[in-house]
Amino acid sequence: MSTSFQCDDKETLVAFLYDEIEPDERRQVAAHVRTCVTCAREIDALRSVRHELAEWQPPEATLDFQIVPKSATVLRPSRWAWSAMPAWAQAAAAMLVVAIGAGIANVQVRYGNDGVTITTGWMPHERPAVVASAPQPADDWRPALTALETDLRRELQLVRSTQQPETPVRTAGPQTVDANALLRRVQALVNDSEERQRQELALRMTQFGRDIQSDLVRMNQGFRQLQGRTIVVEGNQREMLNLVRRVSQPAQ
Amino acid sequence: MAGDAESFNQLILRWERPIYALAYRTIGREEDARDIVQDTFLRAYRALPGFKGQAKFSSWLYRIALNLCRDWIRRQRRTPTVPMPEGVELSDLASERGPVESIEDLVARREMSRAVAEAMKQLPEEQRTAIILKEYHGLTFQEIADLQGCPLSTVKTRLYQGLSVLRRQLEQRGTVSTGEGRAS
Repeated sequence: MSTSFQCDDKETLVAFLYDEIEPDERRQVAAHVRTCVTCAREIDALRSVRHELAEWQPPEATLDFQIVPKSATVLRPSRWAWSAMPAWAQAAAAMLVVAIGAGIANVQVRYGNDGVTITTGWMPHERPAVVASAPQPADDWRPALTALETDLRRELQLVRSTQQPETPVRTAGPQTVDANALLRRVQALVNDSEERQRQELALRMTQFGRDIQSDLVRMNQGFRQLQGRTIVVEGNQREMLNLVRRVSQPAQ
Repeated sequence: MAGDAESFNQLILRWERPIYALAYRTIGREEDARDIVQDTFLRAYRALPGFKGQAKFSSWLYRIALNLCRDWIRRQRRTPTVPMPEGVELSDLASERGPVESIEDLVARREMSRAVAEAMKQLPEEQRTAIILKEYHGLTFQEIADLQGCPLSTVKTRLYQGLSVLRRQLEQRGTVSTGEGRAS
């Protein structure tokens, strides 16, 4: 490069400032700066700016990102674990928890004078169940109902068979009608109980999902607050330590 | 795929903090910067089969992150209120402070950091990005030019103009010397 550095050549000045410049150019700028007060001041000021820029550091952040191979989704472990889960997975998880809860919650099938009832709850039942006296798991009530229906049919058959010899003509018609009506009534009660149970499960599942989400949000907020307080306490402790050091130093 | 993920997680471990620093200094919001880091690596992972290695992996990541930052800035401009940059709190600096650093020094650093952050926010996006890439990530003029899609001379001009604006703003705050004291 044959020409010397000119004051208005800011591109070369920047290249000199960052030391990303050819050796010849660097020598020319350096020689110019030795004689040009304006350029020397400007370079000094820009160096000072660069020095101040170094003070600007981003706040500490917990990152720990990871690629999860199965879903190829980057998850943030603490903050986004729940929200990153798809809706169907959340619903399935809630369903699973509710099903387990229903099993734990002492689901029972009872038959008495008031018909067939399906109950859940932690309270023990006062009346012994006819068909299912022991607590039934959540998935066992259908076989129990089937057994109840079978027993009822057997009893009706027995009654019919014992009454037939005495009044074969008169009792045959009305007895059949009564049995069918009773069966229909039992079936209706069973259907009603099933419907109620489904509604109750759906309600509990929805409520449970909401509770879980709100709990997770609260836990997350709590952790963040705790983390913030820990940082503040650490800072305060360091300040106090510095104060103690300064105070304990002998006066000059 | 599992092996790819494991290898890629090593790259994340290497580059997540630089990308976070880039995003934070560009947009000034910690939480949003974290989101941008996550999106950057997710996009990079998905686009990994298409990465032929023409550019450095870091430059590729920087490009993705800068595009996301640009999208974020555009979204913020469309909203009626622009969030103020987060201040630098004492607690943020506490962990950086050396064991013998005094409270006065800490406060001075805090003020300086805040002043720099505020001044940087006033710069046009292109100048701010050029300064960030040069000052904090050590990219060459050519690498910045490639990322910004502009001639190398434009990068130098942006750097000069940005530094000059910062100089004036910091001089007004009294945090930087004016160069008056230099002997001729």
